[in-house]
Amino acid sequence: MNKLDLSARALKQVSPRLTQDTKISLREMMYCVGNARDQIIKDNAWAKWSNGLEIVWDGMLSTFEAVSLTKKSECLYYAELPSKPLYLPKNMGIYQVVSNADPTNDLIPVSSTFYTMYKNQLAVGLDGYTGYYQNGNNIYIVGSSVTEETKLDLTLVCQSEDIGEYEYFPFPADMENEIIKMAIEQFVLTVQMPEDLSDNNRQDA
Amino acid sequence: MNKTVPIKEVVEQYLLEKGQDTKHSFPRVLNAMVRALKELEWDVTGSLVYKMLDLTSNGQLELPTDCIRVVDLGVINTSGEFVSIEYNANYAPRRTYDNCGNEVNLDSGNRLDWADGSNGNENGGLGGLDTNRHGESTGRQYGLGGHSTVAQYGFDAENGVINISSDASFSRYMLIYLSNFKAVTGNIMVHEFMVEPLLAGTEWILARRLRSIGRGEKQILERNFITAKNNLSIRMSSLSVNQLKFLGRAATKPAKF
Repeated sequence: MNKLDLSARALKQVSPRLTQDTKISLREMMYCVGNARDQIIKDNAWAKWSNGLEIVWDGMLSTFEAVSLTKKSECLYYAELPSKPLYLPKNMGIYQVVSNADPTNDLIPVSSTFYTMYKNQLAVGLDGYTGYYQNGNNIYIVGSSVTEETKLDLTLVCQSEDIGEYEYFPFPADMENEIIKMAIEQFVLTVQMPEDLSDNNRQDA
Repeated sequence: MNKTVPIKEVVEQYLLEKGQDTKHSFPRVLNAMVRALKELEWDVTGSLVYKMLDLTSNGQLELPTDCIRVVDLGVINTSGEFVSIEYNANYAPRRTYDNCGNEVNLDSGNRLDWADGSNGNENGGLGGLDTNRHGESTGRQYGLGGHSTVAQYGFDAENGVINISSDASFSRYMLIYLSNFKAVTGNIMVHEFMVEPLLAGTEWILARRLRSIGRGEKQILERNFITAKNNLSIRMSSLSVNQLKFLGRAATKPAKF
């Protein structure tokens, strides 16, 4: 199911007799559906994390393959994130980063202060693993195990606005009704504002 | 007793037991587990290092930088056996500093004359050895330590050196000490028996500074770690049946008639 289908399904629940002549835009509903999906995923993740429960991420992930690396300096490479991840516990918005050539060894996510905080600890070497940290819209990889030819496969929990309307829209299947319900609540509040076609300081439709 | 398990496997085991499918907590867990590993190494599983040290011109031995605790110091005899030399807590450094901070030797001008050990009251009773008290012999008849020894040593902790007595005639000594564990090619290896204590220790270390966890629970976690450490100690020092029999055997047996 893509975002368009889910939005249409939600719109039908608002009023089953909606037609093409109505002023209600599918795009507005898609925006509400996207927001609802993001909110529900975040609330669910933070609640489970706070209670120490296991979070099941399957169905919420988007994969981006063969992302290129750019050399910033000696032993420092970065890759631009193809999509903005959600803000989740332990920065799990970036769910997994693996090398294209070796998918069994994933890179270890560290904080941006890792190499300053851990520099005097034995753990700074990550026992041989390669680490990465996020800074802005990029992820930086420290170490000599990657080169400019290395490609990364990224698995992210993306923000809905970065997912195209015809692309696969990842959300937990058991939360579909909850998403539609929240989207309708937001949508109803939005469409109560009268539509003003021209910004001329007069109340005209 | 080989250490064949990479510590990263134990970290992953910990994460899986916590129900985590990703390595987002890996650095923090690894750091805590290294802390637990040090506790185990110092008390139970640490390997002793045997290092030959050369005597310097000052009559001292330089302590290796990875030395945490000296276990023994001695020399090697012609049979290849290690012979301990005596630790003397009273042994003072042979070198001292003048008012400008320059090193100076303790020569006869600035130290007390040694008594010959036979009569503590010679030389006015100053600097002599107490070999009797109120007419009763208290031993220490021979030598500084009062009994025969090949050499004596004392620590100079400030300078990180061992001072060897001037009567020693050896130029090389074997130091046995407990060292900080080393990562081999960047990988820290642990023994199979250490896995459970490491998991228990990591759980405690990650919890002990958190205010959200009650004191009672922290104490339980600490107790679990100590129990696991004791169990590790028992496992590591367990003997086979033959070894136990050998221990109980006398060194020589009388002939039977």
